Amino acid sequence: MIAEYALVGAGAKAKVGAQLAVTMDSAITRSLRGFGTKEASATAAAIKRGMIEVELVDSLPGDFAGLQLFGTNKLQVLKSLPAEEAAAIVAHEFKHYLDHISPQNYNIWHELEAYRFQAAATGRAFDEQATLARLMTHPVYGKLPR
Amino acid sequence: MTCRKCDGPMDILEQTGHVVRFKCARCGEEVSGLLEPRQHLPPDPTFQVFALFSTVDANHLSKEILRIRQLVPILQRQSVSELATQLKASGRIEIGTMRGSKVDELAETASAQGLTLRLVRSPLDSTLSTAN
Repeated sequence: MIAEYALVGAGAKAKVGAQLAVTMDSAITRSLRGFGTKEASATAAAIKRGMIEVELVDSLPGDFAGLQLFGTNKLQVLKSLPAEEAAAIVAHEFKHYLDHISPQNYNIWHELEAYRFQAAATGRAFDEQATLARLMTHPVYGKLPR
Repeated sequence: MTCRKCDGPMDILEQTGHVVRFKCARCGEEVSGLLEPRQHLPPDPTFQVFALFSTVDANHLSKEILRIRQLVPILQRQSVSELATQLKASGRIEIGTMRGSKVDELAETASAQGLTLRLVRSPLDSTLSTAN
């Protein structure tokens, strides 16, 4: 799985090129490296290679903390977040990016997999049943196609 | 947020749940995105970690020390005999500072490799037995 990320990253490097300005806070990259997991390293490597572009922003709509623009490699994360939380969101969004989600195909299983990846990246335990139950009863996620 | 085509300001056109659609106020370019809520990470505190060994057989103990050195690279700064001396003097080997999740991971790996060591976190009120 990780080898696949690495391959995607290598391919994307050639496609994306150097024109993308990465406005990534180094504290987030340090947090990703600090997690010490393969998933976090893959996320950090994707940023370094320009596969994904992370922009730190002052605000996002509502109380949300991250944004992944469909069909692009752009992620936005709130500047005010603690670095570890921001790094977790970047890992989560990176999985969405890898899954090529769009408004047409986006479903609850994408979220389950993103949370699984995020847990692996941050070195936390992942309880699939509990996470799925939480997603299905969530006021927003619960309305997603299954 | 600015438009990828003309760098103009993007306004929210509509938001359904956490799917949001933006429209450029200058050129009309539209883009959709997925908003994510805050991720409250469970704590993963850092501990000072020590290894205790159950075996009393000197040969077996040396082998265990050799293997824990392989699992914890920082211990390779000390020789097996130095670590054995530390163990004899204090009854434990200092592994160093680790996050709780990493201690769990190390305990699992050591157990899977058949080591009899126990990892003790500081303060010494929580132990992880690899023998169980």
